[in-house]
Amino acid sequence: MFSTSSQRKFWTFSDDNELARLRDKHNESFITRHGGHIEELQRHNFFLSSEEERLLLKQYELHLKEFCKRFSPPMPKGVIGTAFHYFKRFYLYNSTMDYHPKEILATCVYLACKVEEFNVSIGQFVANIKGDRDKASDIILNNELLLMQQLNYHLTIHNPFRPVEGFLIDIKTRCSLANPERLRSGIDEFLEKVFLTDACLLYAPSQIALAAVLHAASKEQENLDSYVTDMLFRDAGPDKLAILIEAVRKIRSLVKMVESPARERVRLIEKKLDRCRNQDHNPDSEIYKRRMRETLDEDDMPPAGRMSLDTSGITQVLSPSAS
Amino acid sequence: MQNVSAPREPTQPVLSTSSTILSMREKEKYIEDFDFPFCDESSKYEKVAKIGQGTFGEVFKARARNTSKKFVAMKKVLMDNEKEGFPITALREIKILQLLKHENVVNLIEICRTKATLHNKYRSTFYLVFDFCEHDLAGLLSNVNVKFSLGEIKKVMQQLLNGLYYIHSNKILHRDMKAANVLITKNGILKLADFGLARAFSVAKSGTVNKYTNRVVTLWYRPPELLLGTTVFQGPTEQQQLILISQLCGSCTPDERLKPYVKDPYGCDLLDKLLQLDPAKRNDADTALNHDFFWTDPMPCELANMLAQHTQSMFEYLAPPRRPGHLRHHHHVPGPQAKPSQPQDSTYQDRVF
Repeated sequence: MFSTSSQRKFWTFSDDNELARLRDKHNESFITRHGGHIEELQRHNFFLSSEEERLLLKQYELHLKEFCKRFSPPMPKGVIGTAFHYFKRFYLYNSTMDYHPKEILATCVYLACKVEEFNVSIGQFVANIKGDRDKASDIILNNELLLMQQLNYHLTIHNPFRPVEGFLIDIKTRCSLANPERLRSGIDEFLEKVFLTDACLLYAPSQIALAAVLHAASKEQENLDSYVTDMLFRDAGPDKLAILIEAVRKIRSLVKMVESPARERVRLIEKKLDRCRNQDHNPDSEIYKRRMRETLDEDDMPPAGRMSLDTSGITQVLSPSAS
Repeated sequence: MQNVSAPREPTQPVLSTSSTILSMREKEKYIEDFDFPFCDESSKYEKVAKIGQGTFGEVFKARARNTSKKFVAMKKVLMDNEKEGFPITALREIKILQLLKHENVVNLIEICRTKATLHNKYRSTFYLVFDFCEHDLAGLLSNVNVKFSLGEIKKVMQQLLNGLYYIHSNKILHRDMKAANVLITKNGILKLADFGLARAFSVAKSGTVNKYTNRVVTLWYRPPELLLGTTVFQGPTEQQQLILISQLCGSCTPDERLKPYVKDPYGCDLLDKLLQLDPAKRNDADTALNHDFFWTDPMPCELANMLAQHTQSMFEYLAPPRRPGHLRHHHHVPGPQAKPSQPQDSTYQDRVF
């Protein structure tokens, strides 16, 4: 149930100002940590601003959508929705300068496949990635634990797809609308765009689903206002109805404002990111490669280092006291 | 500490990424100090003893180092042979246990990790941390000194079915129900545990069938339809399907062989309904909870008094081997005789994947 979920408790925020504050905080935190010795003006030119990070992430959200669309075997909608949630959540508490979005993007999709029981092996998964697949596989598996930890192991995602089905069944049952199935294409188009906004961090899946249904209805020149007021919310007080109407209005306006960032601007931000990103997390950096070599090279390890932490576990087990 | 290639002062040009080389010590310090805000270190608990072997790793009894000194069970997530990253069994268990909060389901407190250091090659080990339960049902049943009265047996069954009813209502299949996975606290509260094989199920849409693997449940406890694979039973009608099952498994009528062992007629009847060969006719948890067995004298009674007589924890893992000469655990085997090719814990030999 969404009402008792970790999504509602920990990952649904009051408004976009709260999201902006979180993002600004982690942007500043990175800059303070890594650029404390640099003069203010230089710092501004060298590191990404919070706004630049947002633009970059918008571009990578488009990449995420495309990657999932082209994925073979075809990826269920639930997996795509879950991957978007993970991606957005991760960058609320991390900077793109610390972890490059292209690496986190693939990791989010891989983890979403597992969690949503879309069973693809890492081999099948990286077959969908251009370039060095072994390297991609290593990056994804190395980042998977990091991603899970940053999500606080809150892996269950409530997507708007099931509520949409519920609304369609309800409309077919209780509403005089002719052929509600024709709303589907409008709903799908809306939900595809909604994941390019922050709606899933601000609103309940059922509110997003209702916004999608109402949007699709208005595209078909149909009016479902009476369905909402007289059927869905007949017994609810005017306050609840007002809250819902406001939420739906805001979700629809967020979707209306979706636009692709200017390609040239993104290219410049990418260049800037290549210079200022944390080299410890850059698989192409010497630092990272050296660390990987060390973790794999047994001979570099002192004898104690080869032992797993828990081999010191009890060998002769005595029955522990029940106290 | 500088980790990125930033200019040191305004007059200097921006350095290229390759020129930022950290000293070995700086790099180690960076990794060791890296903060995961949501994931505590396992060092906050002190291991006391190994108490079991779960679906994906060892289970330890541990004590919190803080003032509470509370006991917990720590289930290690083994990742040594994982080609696919974090084991999906562990993922399912985390996801499912975050959803299930019930008195008769084991409580997941948190996930914690070992510190990434040079000694573990900067690879953390992960632990699932649970409320500690003093016994498991297999351990209790294997101890000749533990005797359950009929009222206590009813209480065990009632709690077991309550837990099952709750998880099934939440559309979760456990898929590894057995006595070793039924934990009991010293206060007599039963908890279903080890959700490493569990998964969510969905009700099939009309005209379609949801196919789930039949290669689940420890071999001894598998129902006939899983043991033989559902395709064996595909008769054109339910009647013919039942005939096929009967031909393979014997009669579907109440089993006379149970009666000498189960003296209570209601208990015998309930068992018979739970062990129906035809899965469609088998009682579900809800129906079973309404059976007269639970509503006739002696009524279900608390286990705490009986368990108070036993101060030692009882787990299947720690129980002595059942048959003479049958070595259950690797730590009982002298070094040279141990065969590396065999699984370390023979209780897990019977699981087929």
